[in-house]
Amino acid sequence: MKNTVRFALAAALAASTALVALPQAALADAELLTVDLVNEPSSLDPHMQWNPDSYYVYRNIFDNLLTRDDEGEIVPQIATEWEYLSDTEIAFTIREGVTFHDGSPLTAEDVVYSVERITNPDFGSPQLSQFSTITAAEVMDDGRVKLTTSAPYPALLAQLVKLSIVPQAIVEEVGQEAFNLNPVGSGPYRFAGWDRGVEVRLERNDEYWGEVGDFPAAVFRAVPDASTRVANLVSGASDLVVSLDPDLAMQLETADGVEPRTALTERVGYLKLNPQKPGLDDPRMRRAIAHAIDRELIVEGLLGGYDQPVGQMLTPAHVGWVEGVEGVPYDPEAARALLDEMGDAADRTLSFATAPVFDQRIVQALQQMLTDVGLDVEIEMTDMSTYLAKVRGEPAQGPDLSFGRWSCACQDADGVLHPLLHSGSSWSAVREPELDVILDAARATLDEGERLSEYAKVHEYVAQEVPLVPLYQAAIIYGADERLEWTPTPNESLFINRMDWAE
Amino acid sequence: MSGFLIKRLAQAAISVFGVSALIFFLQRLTGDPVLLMVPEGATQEAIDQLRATLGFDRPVLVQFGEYLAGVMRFDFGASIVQNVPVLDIIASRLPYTIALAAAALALALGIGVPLGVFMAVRREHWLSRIGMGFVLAGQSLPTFWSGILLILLFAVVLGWLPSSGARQASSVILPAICLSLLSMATFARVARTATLDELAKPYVRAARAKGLPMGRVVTRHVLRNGAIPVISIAALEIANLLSGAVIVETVFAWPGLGLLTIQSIAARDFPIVQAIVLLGAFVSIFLNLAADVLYSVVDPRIRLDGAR
Repeated sequence: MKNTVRFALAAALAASTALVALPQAALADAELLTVDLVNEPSSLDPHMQWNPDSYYVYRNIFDNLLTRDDEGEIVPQIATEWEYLSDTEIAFTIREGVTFHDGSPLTAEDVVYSVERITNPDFGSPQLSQFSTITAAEVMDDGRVKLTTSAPYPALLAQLVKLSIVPQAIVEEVGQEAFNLNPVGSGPYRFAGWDRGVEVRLERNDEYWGEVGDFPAAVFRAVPDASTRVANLVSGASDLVVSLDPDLAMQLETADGVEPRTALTERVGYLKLNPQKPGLDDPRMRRAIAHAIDRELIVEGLLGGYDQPVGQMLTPAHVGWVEGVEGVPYDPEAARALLDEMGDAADRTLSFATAPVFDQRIVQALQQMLTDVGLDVEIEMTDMSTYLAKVRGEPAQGPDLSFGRWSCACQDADGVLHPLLHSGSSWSAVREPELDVILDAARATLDEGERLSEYAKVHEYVAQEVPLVPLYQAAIIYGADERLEWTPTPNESLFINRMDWAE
Repeated sequence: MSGFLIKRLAQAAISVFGVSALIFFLQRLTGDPVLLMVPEGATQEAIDQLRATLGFDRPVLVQFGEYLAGVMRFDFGASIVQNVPVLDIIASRLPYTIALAAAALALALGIGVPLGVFMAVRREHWLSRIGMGFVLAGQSLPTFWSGILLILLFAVVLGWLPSSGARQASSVILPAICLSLLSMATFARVARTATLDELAKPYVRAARAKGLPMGRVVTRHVLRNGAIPVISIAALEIANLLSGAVIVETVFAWPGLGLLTIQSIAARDFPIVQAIVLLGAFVSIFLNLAADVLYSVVDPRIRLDGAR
């Protein structure tokens, strides 16, 4: 028995040492930027997925047609300039002298190929809907690339900020699966290796046409537990960590050598009401719910003050944000009065859908606020997949209320208000022909002034009819070594070539 | 012996088929991976298109038939989310889980069993009293909490060990300790009870009466007879270690199967979940069979002829 135990112990230790003896990081600590993500990228093919952890990594490997600067303005990247030929045609001048990491030049044909690849329905890109208005891409006689849309589409440029340019020759030669495992782009960092489940390594592209990075190499690790990410940062094992909550941010405030970095994003926290359900079909009940909610208290009391209350279903980072729109004010007395007026019709248990990815303290606080004015609310927590199926389904069968955090990743009202309020969208519980006309009109013109006046009407409708209660502009909280020079942006990008150590 | 094995293998095949059918249909009842893959606001056409590309628009029975046919050919398909063959993904993760579970099992057995035997033989010793407290604590500490405590102490405050990941060989130490705590307590408790039972039996008194020293009675006779319950518990504990790895791997960012399972379930990555469940079924059935065979090796009185 003793011998068996001894043998088992020795064998197990030998096995574990042999199996986990991985190459040590060869670079000096200061030369290597270590970033802790939540999960590893699902894929590094920029057209094959849509999730933040993949985006953080692949956006450093690939250049996009357009990009945003630190102030959030749309600026050139692969396209140096663009010109509208008509309301549905736009011509892009492609930057010269850009090469992919294998040395081959990036051409207008690669741009056309990238557009055709992601918009090909059979390719099955999860991002298809962001580009589905594009009907044709072609190289013009003067070498520019012309994109044609099925109708005027004012958010096109905002969507093209997300279009990564892939090398046609390489993708076609190696095939989709191999390209996913060994991506080749033209970005400031090149792919250097991927230990599945452990980390993705990037190294600097010294031939980059733009701002060459200061870090010779970077590594992105998957660390699912937020407390562990903080421990890594505090112990010096990582330099930058993503996705922290306000409590952990406060922990970083008091620790030495590290600090939280936050930015207000383009995500809007909101409560969605379902006007197709009994009781909620009465605008008085919807207004009462809006009156019952104290946004300031949620932001200051629960979210640590990092987030920003909003009175319209957008953020200042969006095109379509109208200054001075006030939401329904917090007024529990008015809420009670409206519910009294309704009488028995308001006397019903409301189902409130949520999923574990959301901050449940907010959901419970909302429930409490609604209970305080006399409503009966029951939280229905399901996993994200079921939650999405419920809030997207036929409204008559859907939940009465649902909490959400909306991101269109395009910083344009069209990506928020159209899907959430248009009767033709499966994300909307509103069936209001007049509203559809306004939303369609705002989508049909390229004139920003005209669009703003249409969206002002939408904000007015939301404040009057309350199909949604906008709550707050969500903040994103990172933790960073305090010597790291870097400012987070609303579109949640981690551009390594914009980072450096402070002297 | 062979009759017994054939019967057990037939039972195993039925169990494995049942488990794979169950997980296949249950998963499809619980949600749709496509909704988790697309951006918010994706149009119905885009969602339908992706569903069709992935083959989820076909009848579930057709999908099941295709899955079974694939499994027969040892083809488990490709991950929906990662677009990589399932076997490649599991093969890259499995060594980490085996390493972690083996290290944890070695710790649990190597410390738990001697501790249990000591607590039985020297019941009144002060170390035994401390040992009992240790057993109680080990069984009641949740691993997600003890894991964070270990990280804070050894990685943040003392800086001796890496806090997470699998970059160095020493990365396995903290998760292995954390994972072994629960099993260690179980082994100590079972070894103690088994040893006490054996010590009370007449043969011990007889051996002592003929002049055998206590140490030899324990090592030669008591341990051997007391090994049966420890072995059967060990088979169960290996399964427990693998399921405990789900939490421990998440806390320590250890890139094993447990972490992969959590992520794949959350993403509704059906092919990976199916393959992991199938693997889990194989492992637990095999372990039980191995334990049954081991009984007869340790205790010749037990026969595996299936007749009794």
